[in-house]
Amino acid sequence: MNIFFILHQRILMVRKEYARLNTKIQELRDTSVNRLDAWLVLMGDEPLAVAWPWTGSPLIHTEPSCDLGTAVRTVQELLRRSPDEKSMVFVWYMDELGGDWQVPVTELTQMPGVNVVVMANQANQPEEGDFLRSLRYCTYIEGISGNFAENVDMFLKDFQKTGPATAVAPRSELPALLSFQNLETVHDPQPLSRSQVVAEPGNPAEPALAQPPLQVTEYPDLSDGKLDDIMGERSAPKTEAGARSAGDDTPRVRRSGETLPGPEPTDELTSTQLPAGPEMVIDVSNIQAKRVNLEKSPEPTNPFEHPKQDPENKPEPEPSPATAKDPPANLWAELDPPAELGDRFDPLAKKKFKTADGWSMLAASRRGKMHAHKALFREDAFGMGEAAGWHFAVVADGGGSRPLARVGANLAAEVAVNAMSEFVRKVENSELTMEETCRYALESGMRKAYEALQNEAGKRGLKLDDFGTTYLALAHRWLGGQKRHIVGVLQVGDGLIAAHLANKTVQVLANADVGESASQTLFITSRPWKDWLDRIQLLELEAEPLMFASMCDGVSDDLIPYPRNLARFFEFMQDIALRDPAEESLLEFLKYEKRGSFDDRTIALLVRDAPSSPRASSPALRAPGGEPQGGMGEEQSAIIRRPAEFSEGSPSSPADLPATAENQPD
Amino acid sequence: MFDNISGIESQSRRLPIYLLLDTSGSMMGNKIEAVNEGVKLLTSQLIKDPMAIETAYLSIITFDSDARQLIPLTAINDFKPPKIEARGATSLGAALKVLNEALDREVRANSAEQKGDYKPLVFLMTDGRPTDNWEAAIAALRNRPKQKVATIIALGCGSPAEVDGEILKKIANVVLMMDNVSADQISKFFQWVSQSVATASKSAQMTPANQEAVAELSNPPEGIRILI
Repeated sequence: MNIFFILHQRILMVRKEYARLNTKIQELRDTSVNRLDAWLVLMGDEPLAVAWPWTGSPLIHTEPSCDLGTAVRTVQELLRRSPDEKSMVFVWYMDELGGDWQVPVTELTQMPGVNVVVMANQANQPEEGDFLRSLRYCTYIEGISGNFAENVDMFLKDFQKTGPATAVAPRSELPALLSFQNLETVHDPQPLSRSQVVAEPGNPAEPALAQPPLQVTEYPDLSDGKLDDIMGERSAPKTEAGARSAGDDTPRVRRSGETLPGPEPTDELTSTQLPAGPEMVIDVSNIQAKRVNLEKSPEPTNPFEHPKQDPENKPEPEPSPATAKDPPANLWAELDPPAELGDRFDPLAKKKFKTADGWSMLAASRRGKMHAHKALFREDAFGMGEAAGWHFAVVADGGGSRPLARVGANLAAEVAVNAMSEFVRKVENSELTMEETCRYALESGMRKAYEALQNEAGKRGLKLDDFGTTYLALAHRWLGGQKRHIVGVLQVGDGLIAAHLANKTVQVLANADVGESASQTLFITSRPWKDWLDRIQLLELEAEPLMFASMCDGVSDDLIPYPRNLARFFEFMQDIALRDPAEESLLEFLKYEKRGSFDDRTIALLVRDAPSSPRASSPALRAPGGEPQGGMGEEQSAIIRRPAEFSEGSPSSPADLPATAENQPD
Repeated sequence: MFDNISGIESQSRRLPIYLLLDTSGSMMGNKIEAVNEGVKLLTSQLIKDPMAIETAYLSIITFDSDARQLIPLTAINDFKPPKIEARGATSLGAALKVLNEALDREVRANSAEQKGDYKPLVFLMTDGRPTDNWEAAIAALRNRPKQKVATIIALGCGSPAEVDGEILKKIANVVLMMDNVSADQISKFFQWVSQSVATASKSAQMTPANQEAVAELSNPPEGIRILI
């Protein structure tokens, strides 16, 4: 069974209330035959949802509010995780409800096995009460005062009695006289005998709580078993109140004997649009509870396991609010690998630099959700370098099941780039052609990387295979004088290297190993390094390149099928390359959410800079008329470089470009 | 900033799981109840594992006098455990045929154009001997195209006199035998299934895309032995 308490934060300002609630739940758990899960959900822009036990001080929002809509959505998401449980949801609010709450609350009441009880200390908005009264499986009580925990207790005790959870509780119409409506006045002429709950005189209420004068809240007598009927089946709203409400705007009230049309509340809600409640502002100076440090504790908990009891006032780690999308972020843990492990690599890495000849290189690498969840290291790596007019980028993904995958990847990437740079410097003034230089540089990179892994294996007394890694190398040089580019690639394993060209196309330069024997894992350690050399390719580009991107399969997998998604991908990259700091932006991009995608992610970009004018916008976005279509940032200027404009050296100012309608001064 | 990469549409790789459940008359009563509970348990367990929840897809095929796919491959999020009842004979051959067809229809193969699913897991549970022609169906299963082979784990519920382990060995990669069939044992089996799936979904992620996901299985629970 599940119990949710959706509360306005002010209720918990009274410490005793909080402690009482805690005690009540404990009692219930002790006496409960079935499993009992209790949740505290504090309303706010980001509702705080905490699983019982609630130790320490109550949590505090910086800006508490009465946003019931978002809180209910959180509860719905939590409920979806345990579809067969019976659940009670208690809402206690002051004054006015906020957030778009009608649809979520209606949906909540429609979920099988869910009973909702909404309690208000006083209702400033009668329409709210009317609406809630009209909902089936929702009990609305106004004028609540006194001990919250006691009020809740009564409902819970009888709810408990009704037996093991069933997937779908039968729905039935209750006789009108058993409802809880019309409790606004003491002189309620209901025939039911009731017990009375009175506000506790000693209740140390906050001045901010504005306690109403002593009110009598009447409940049906529990002893005669009537509440059993209510809770065991489902409570139905009293129809009178609904009928009493003014006009056509109120939700249609169901009459006795009417069949339920099914969980489609929206039709009935369209005309009931209550204004969102104002944000509640707390008078902080009166708060008794300590302001709690809400920083994540080092061991974020799985919300479905109860957090350990902490005698000190350790704050509960807060799971992020669940959204309608699945899965909610809070199922994933984010753990540091054990301290005793060496070869430590940061979960995040980024780099950026400008080359001497007007290009930028930027890269970012981020540990994926799976490795974070399992307390493993990031196993992707990148390397970038420039030497003698050449640009080199290597990305590598360490083999998953190997404990030292991260070492393999990082070592290979770093050594390869250094080796290639050293090689081109050495042969700079030699007789070698550009193509030969490119080819031999790639060879050198592969060889040195492989040998470095061999040495490492030898040093540690391990197998070469333990350092298995994929390997994607890109070598590029722009020969301005000859108006051509030299591009070479060497890829082993999965991932992708692609170029974004000025003719509005994307060219895939190297590809994953598809079609190889499925039983072989392809890493550079899978075969002697020489076996890979025939994979070196020198490429003719179909048009001027604007950007090169190398990535490991953590990203490329999410872009299949090519090339359709690559155009959009490069739009993102162009946008990112314009930001400052771009590498931070790239790292941020790697946080994107995608179902089923939780591998490490790494991208290395080689981007042509425009020297003194803004970068060309993505050609794919431009309509024939030349106006940028947007999606690239508002400050984007509309200069496009056409291949014909690439004369010797880049134009040093916009004035060098032929004047067209698209040119704009920076 | 980049909550989702809008405009980029790419399927996710799924881990297809098929449960082939014997619903013959001999399962009536406690046994089928336990199976029902077991499926619910499996679902609730998988839903709590972040990797399984994003990749696991579940389908139920039941067989008695006939066989049918009760629930097509469904994301674990959306999966609602059905109420399974028992009556009739044991048409294992028909079940394998339905499985074959389901694998053809539902499982995506890896190609340059399409991201394929991980290697499917099939859990077969039976408490008796097949009453129909199963040899032909096994042959068809064996001859599946390479990309669409599945890992099959069979559980025989009952004594060797009741369940023919040899037949199961012809069908499955791994055969488990449950000598004493009880609700508790069946529940343990489903627990083990959910652990195996969780493990498989992790190991599936760790292997490169062109590689078969090796189904690493944890040790079966007490009371269930592996048939060599």
